[in-house]
Parts: sequence; C-alpha cells; structure tokens
Amino acid sequence: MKARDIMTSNAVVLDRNQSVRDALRIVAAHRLHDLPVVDEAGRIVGMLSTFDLLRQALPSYIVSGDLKDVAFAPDLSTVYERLEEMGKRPVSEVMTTDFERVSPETTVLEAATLLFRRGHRTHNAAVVDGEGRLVGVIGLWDILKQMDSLRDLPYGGGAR
Amino acid sequence: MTGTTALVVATGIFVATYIAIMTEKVNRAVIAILGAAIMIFAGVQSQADAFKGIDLNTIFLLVGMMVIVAIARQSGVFQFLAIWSAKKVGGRPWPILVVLAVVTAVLSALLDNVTTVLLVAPVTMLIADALKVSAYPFLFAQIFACNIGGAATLIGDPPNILIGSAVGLSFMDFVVHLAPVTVVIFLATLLPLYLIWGRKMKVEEEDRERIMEFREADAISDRALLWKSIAVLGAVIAGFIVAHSLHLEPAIIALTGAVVLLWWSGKDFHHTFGEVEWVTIFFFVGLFMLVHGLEKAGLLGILAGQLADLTRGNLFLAGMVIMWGSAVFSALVDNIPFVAAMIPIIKGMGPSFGGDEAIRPLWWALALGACLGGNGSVIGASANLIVAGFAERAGQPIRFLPFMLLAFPLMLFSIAIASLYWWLRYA
Repeated sequence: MKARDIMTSNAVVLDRNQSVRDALRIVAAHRLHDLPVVDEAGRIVGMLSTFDLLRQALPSYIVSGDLKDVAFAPDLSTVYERLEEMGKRPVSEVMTTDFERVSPETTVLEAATLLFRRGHRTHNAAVVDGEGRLVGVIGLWDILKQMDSLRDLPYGGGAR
Repeated sequence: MTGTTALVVATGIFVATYIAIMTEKVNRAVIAILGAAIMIFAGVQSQADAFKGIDLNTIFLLVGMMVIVAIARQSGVFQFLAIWSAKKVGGRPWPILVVLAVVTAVLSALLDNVTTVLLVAPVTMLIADALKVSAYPFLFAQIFACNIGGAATLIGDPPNILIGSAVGLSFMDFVVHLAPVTVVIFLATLLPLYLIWGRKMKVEEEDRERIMEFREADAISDRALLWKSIAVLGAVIAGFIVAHSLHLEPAIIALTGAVVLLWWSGKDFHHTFGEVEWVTIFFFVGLFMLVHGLEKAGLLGILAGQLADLTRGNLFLAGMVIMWGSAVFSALVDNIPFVAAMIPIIKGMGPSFGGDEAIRPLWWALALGACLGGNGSVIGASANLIVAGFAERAGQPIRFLPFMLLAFPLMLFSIAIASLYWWLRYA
C-alpha cells in the first residue's frame, strides 16, 4: 500500500498568518497533535506541533536535557508568560519546519517507520507532490485505522 | 632521523597541530592523535618512545574521577547543595550569587570543572528564572569560581594534574601552596562583581519567597546512592591526602574508588564507562606523545636554556615570566597543551637554578598562571565554553568581547594577587 491509499486527502490546514491561539482552537477541535501550515499557493511551509509548542514554552536548560529532574522546584511563572505570549504570535513564527515529507508513492511501511522514528515530535507527515504542494496528511491514526473495524473513523490526519 | 632535521620536523608538526587545535574545526583529540602519529611516521620518534611519553598516572586519575563523578551525579547531590545554600541565605539575589559561587569553587576543587558547571549552571538558571533576574552575573561568577577553585588542588584542574604527576607533587603540596591564595583571590574577585551587579540586584518579595518553596530534599533522587557516593568520594580524597606518605600515586586511588563505587552502586558498566569523556582522555594521550617527540628532538631543551638565560638564574624573574606568560597564553588558547609543553621546559631549567628543589616555586607559578588565566576569555577554559553554551541556549548569550572586557582585567587582577603572594612566599 502507498501513502496515497491511506492518507487523509482533504486535511485541515492552517494559514501561516493566523494567530497561534486561533490555530490551536482548530487543532483542538480535531483532537490532533499537529496540523500542516500552507502558503497562499497551497505549498506546505511548516507544521504546527503541540509537542514543539511545549518545547518552546519550557526553559532552555530543561529542553536541552541539562536539567532532567525538577521535582524540587516550585512552579515557574515564566512558563505561563511564555504560553500567553506565544498565543498572540502568528503561526509562521512558532511552527516547526522539521517534519517528515513523503510523496504519494511512499509505501505505508516507510511512512510508518518515519513517524515511529520521530517519536512524539510530530505525529503526522505531510504528503507533498513534486511542486511541494500539500496533497494530504498521513498520521498515526491513518495507519492504525487500517484495522478492519476502524476504517469508518471520521478523522485521520484531520479531515475537513 | 637525527639532529637539526628532527628538530625542524618535530617543531613543524607540533606547531601545525597546535594551530589546528586552535581553529577548533576538527575535534581536538583527533588532531592531537593525528599529529602524534605523523611524528612517528616521519621518524622523529618510535612508537615505543612516544608511548613512554604518555603519563598514565594523569590518564587513569582522570578516568577514575570521571567514573566516580558519572555515578555520584545521578544521586542529585550537587543540585541539593546548590538549592540548600540558596535557601540558607533567604533567597536574596547577591547572597545567592555568592553561595552558588562558593559551591562551584569547592566542587571544582574536588571534581573537575566541567562536571561542576554542568551540574550547577542549570540549577542556577532555574533559580534566576524563579527570581526573575538575569542569569548572566551568576554564570559569570561561576566561571571565575570554578577556575579559581580548580587551581586550589591537585585534582581541581587538568594543568595541576599534569604538573603534580610529572613533578611528583602531592595532594597536600597543592593544598598547602595554592589553596590559601585561591581563597584570597576568590574573595577579591567578588568585590568588583558586587560593585558592578550586586548592589543593584533587586527582587520582589514574592519572587524571593518562591526560592524558599524549592524543596532541596526532593533533588536527592537516590538516597542510598548518595551515601555510597559520599563515602567513596570521601575515601578517595582521604586517599589522595595520605597517598604520598604511603608511596602511592593518585591514579590507583581514583581507579580503586571508581571500581568500588561501580560495583557497590550496581550501575551499568557499559553506560558508566560511556560517560567518561574520552575526547579529553585521547587529547591527553596525543599531546603526551607530541610533547615527548619535541623533547626528544631537543626543542624543549633549547627553550629551557633560553628561558634560563633570559632570566639569568633569577628565580623571581623566572617565576613572573612563567606566571604572567601562562596567564595571557591560557586566556587565549587551551592551557592543557601549553602546560604539557612547559613542564619539560621548566624541568630543563633545574640545573641553571641549582636543582629540582630550587625550581619548585616555578611549578606554583605555572599552575596559578595556567589555571587562573583560563578566566581571561570565553574560550580560556572548557568550563567557560560549557557555561556559554547554556547561556546561549537560554537566549542570554555570553559574547566574546563583552565578556573579555570585564573578565580579562579581572583575570589580570587575580594574577597580580597571585604574584604578590608568590613574591612574598618564595622569592
């Protein structure tokens, strides 16, 4: 099976100029981890990843792994301040450009391997054509849905 | 290969290797080993000769301490110390800066500097975040504290390990000759920092209270490991203190401590040995072979003769040239290869000054110059680079020139104090 056979082709996409706050409402409504961000021509420019947003809200010394255990620390107000500030920014400033891109011809095995290797950072890969236009999204759910009784699930990579 | 040819070839290889290390384009261990290998291929010295240059006492002392620290750090004891001391001073920013600097200095004297800042700097940044103040003054003070503290003992800083091992100076020799002046220098360094930052540090009451909400006991992740680590580390340091009178070298004490803690803690062998900084170890191996080649080719003997002529057998002059020269040099380039090359040179000066005993003060001049000189710039010591890396990632980068503008004069100030001490005590 190829990516084109199981991808969500009418995926919800985000506008890179909308605010993070508005974009997250859409992400939440579809119960997803990340959504693709496209430009006016429909080319994929990034992925808004909830995991990556969390990374940006946390202090650098925690993200870098230099401080692994913070059980001794009180809550840190800077995290909330950073979240608040992040919400006002346009999607283009906080989206990640480090995500998997596959072609419609990529095998499902390869797509699944790429997503697995990536861990939590992004749960969806963008399916792009030769010109870089987004033609679909293939996520963990698109793969798990291949179980017989789940084929009717409404969303995989976030269908409109 | 003999005579002048060997001298020219060996010097050429050494200088090229040195420049390659300074550019930092390729890993320094790779460069050092490659340079040493080329020296053997070129016929400057045989492999057997090169291996004779490797000071295994230094190598195994480093490996042993690295293993002990790799295990001990997992207990959370270092974070505990940092938070506990910050709370002891009531969460006020300047006193926190001072106590964290004290913790850094003491830990650097007993462990290696890089490990110390690796453990203390992230907690410092968390504390600064909780206080809503810039972490920069704290990190600046810690850079100075770790290099000053490291100068105090045999095991505090690689130059001291090199000197102690090559000359046969004991742990207590370093404590008696260097520790007193490092305490004075540490305190003297805090004064300008207070005038620049300390007196202006203000925090809100609620932020100060947030520091008091830190629960240092929760930083201890493994209580059993904590006690085992303290027991072994304490025994190893006690071993260093008595080693000389028992005719033991520090390396075997550190290695014994390492394997005992490894076995007692039940930690994974592969993983723990993986934490040893092999880059540093192989860098030393390469340097030792390179320096031995230079020595064999006769260059270091010539330099020793020239330095002896230049100072005309005047110990004071020789001490000052070595201390100030090492300080300026160490501020700008890695002090480890410099010290490795200086050791045979100073040894070679012995006869002109009337024997090994007569030049002993010169070793203290070299140690103080090389260790304290590391404070002169961001690239002066490995620990500085580690702290700068943290600061960079936190969006408060320690820039080369602004840092040097304050750090270099402050370093010269510490060398001035060290010179005064050295003059009063030895000249």
